[in-house]
Amino acid sequence: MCGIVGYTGFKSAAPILTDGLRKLEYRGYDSYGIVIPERTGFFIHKACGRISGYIPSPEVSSGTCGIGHTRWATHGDPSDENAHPHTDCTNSIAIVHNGIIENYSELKRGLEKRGHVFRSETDSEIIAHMLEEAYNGSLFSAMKQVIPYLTGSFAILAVHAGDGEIVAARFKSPLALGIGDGELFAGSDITPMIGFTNRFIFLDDGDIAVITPETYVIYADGIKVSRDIQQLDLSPDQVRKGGFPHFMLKEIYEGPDVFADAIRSLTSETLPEPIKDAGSFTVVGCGSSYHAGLIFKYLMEEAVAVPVRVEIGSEFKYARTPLSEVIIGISQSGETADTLAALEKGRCHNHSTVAITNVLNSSITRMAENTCFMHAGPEISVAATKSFIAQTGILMQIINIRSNERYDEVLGRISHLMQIVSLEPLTEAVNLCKDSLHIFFVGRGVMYPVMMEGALKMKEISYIHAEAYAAGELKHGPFALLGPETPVIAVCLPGRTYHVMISNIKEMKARKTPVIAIGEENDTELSDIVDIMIPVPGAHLWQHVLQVTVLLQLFAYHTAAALGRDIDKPRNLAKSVTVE
Amino acid sequence: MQAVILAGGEGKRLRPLTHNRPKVLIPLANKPIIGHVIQSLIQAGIRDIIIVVGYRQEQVIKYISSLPLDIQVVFQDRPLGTAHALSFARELIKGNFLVLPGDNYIDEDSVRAIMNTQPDAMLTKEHSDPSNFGVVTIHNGMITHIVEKPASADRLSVSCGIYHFRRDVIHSITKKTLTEEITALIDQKREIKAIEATNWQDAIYPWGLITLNTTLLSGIQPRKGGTISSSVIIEGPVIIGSGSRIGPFTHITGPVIIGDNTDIGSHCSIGPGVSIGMRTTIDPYTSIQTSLIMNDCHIGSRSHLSSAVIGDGCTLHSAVIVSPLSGSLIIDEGPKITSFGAIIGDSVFCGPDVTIQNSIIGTSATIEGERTNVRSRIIPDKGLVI
Repeated sequence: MCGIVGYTGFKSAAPILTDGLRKLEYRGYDSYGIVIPERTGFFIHKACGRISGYIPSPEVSSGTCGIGHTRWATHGDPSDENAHPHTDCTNSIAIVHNGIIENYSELKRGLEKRGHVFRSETDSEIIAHMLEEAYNGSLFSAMKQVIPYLTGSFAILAVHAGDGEIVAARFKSPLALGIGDGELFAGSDITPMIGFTNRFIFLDDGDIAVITPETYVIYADGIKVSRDIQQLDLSPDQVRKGGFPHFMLKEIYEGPDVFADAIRSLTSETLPEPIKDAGSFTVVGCGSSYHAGLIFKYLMEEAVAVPVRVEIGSEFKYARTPLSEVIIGISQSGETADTLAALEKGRCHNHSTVAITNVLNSSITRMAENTCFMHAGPEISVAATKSFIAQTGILMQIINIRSNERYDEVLGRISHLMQIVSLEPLTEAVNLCKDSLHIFFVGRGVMYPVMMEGALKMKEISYIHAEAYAAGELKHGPFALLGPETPVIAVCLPGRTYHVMISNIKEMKARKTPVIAIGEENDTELSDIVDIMIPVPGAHLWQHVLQVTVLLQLFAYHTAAALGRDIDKPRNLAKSVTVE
Repeated sequence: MQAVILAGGEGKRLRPLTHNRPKVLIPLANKPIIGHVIQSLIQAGIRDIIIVVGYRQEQVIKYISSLPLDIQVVFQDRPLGTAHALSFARELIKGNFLVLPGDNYIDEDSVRAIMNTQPDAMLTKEHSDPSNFGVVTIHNGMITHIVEKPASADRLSVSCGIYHFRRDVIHSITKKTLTEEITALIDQKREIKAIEATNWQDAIYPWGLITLNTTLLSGIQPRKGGTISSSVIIEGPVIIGSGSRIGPFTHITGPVIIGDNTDIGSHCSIGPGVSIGMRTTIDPYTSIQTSLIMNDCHIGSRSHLSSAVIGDGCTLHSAVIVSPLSGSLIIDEGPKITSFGAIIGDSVFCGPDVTIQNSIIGTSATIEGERTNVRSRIIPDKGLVI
């Protein structure tokens, strides 16, 4: 799950590549590199760390063709040597690669036997050496010969010294071309090209493209093919922080609008056919998407009494689970490898598949029979916030439509209630938690997955160990960990679980645990027993789900900000997990 | 030319409308006041804009970041005053600059007039009730004296709070407010020119928003999106946002602006002088005149609203009547004769058959009971009227 970018045209390539890589940093940021072909050999700059600080100096090659890479380490440490681009032994072919070559060790042994010298520990370097062996004057024919030997997933860009041509190949990793005027772009997604062009081509699996400043030719199985050009009007403004200190905060504040757009995007007419009368669902997702699926389960089963299974993508793929009628795959990026594999499995067994995603033309949209788009706009922060809100919105609208739209009024008010709750001051709660080693998040019913999402946000960006428990489960073990040093965040809102939650909180207080409660505004019984009370307005459970979500997103954000963490790009993580 | 917009204040006197948003974000003709200020600056050719934020800063930044402009944002840590706010922009000032409040309306011509005058200069305006402003004494076109919010004053020139300063002023700020700073500059024998503004308006009290909204509506360019039933009658300048629906036999008399994704039922009468925000629903047989309705509201059928400001997320049941009435309200610890319909904060719930006149309803208040009359009253936040 790395990001790759390529440019060939009439402008100096280096600044375009480095700018492009900065926009792809969400895909990984362990190390980066760019390569620009010169008359003989290459100009190569690669380094460990992030590209953010690197500005190409004027003495950098002024070449007008080049490729670049930002890495999320899979094979080999993040180091200067392992950073892409990789070159062959003769230093005349350079490549960048996103994905994993599963049979690389076998291929590497063969290459070493034939005298190739490897300079990195990566799987990717073999591609450069294989191209070297196959090269006979045409980089395209070399690529065509090499591809059949590779198994796994890849998006590759390759250049040859002295040329202004890029050869691109795609299999199970995303790759898009941007068609400009006298210039062409290639990238893992279209964000590096926004502002330069609005015409894009999304390559299919198995495609190889040859790109020159004036033209591009796409081959599938060695035969020339044409692919649709898509016109997408995106403005660079959507990927600006615009005064916010972090993208995450901007995206949290976009939540209310995103929710309103999400529920409006789905009506009884546009609801995918298989969902309309399915008698059971399986929802597959990873991370936040999995939590959205769990919320769906609680609310759907309560409202319509249709059973819902929720599975973690990576578990589902290798388990022999009995399948339900409809499989819903949720992925913000639409590239999550595990979720894709789950949908593929469903399709192989002749089940209806529905994707919920934020990215038009992403792999998941090609995999699934039907797609619901979240319309959340580009999400840059690695921690999912507004996309989780949008997923929840879409899923709630599905339930609403399945229950004859009796929740219309409730849904209509949510976006306003989210705005109100985002004004709640959280300083006290942040001060109580920011120096703890562990924080527990507890809730009952649908609030349990909401708390799981809250705990995930907390550990992702603040690096504090946060764990969510169903409140009733605490006494079955985790109670042993409670004490004055471990704060607990508890949701205790009016409803069937209210009284048992109150007694749970009293039990915790008896162990001197500091408790932060999220409760109804005028609930004095609750505010008397807890240390800090965060009030929420709203009257309906569905409204509370979103309000608590926003509160916990802000809580994680402010805690991480107080600790001075790198909020938009937390260590070791990447936005879309395109490897298993 | 650089311009600094001060957007850190709350606007306490506009409560309850400023409970959840700063004054600069109150929408007039469906655009926050600060949006009108930015628009005038852009039209006058100023692109280098710096905004000082403070109260509810995330919301201000959210609005700014939605604009297709590169605007720099600086943070005021505590609300101490206008000069204190300006001092946070110190590092960014590269030459002579303008200072403007983000919560007053100013037109393009006045911006041009002051930017084309040699600094130091300030905009002034004759005002019939100057007691709420900084009153200036002008001699030979120069400011000789300035008094902030005098207890009583005759019809006089007031400061618009808009200045054109030489660069060095930013480095010599010692006072909390710009009025004090101006006094200090005059004491140092610096000359400050007075430039008369062509159109500058401020809403000191919430009912002032109704007039200000009507004024700004008069300049709108008609544009129609959404789905409009063929039997709808539209007269005068009207904007209808995309995704909105207007039901049959509804009569709209401009100037009226209706935001995106708003539903208006059949047989309604809307306008003139009405702005309605986004995602609001108006049920059939309702009539609305000279009012400002914000986002996410639900107004029931057979209601009559006139001279009302309604905040975000309010629910008014059927047959609610809001109409103007003259009466006395205790504002700023003194009685004031006022005449308007209603100022309703965010998230207010109002039951059926309620009549509201000349009253201010706090945020999240509830008004229940049939035939309840609320006349010349101030209902606190979360208040309950039965």
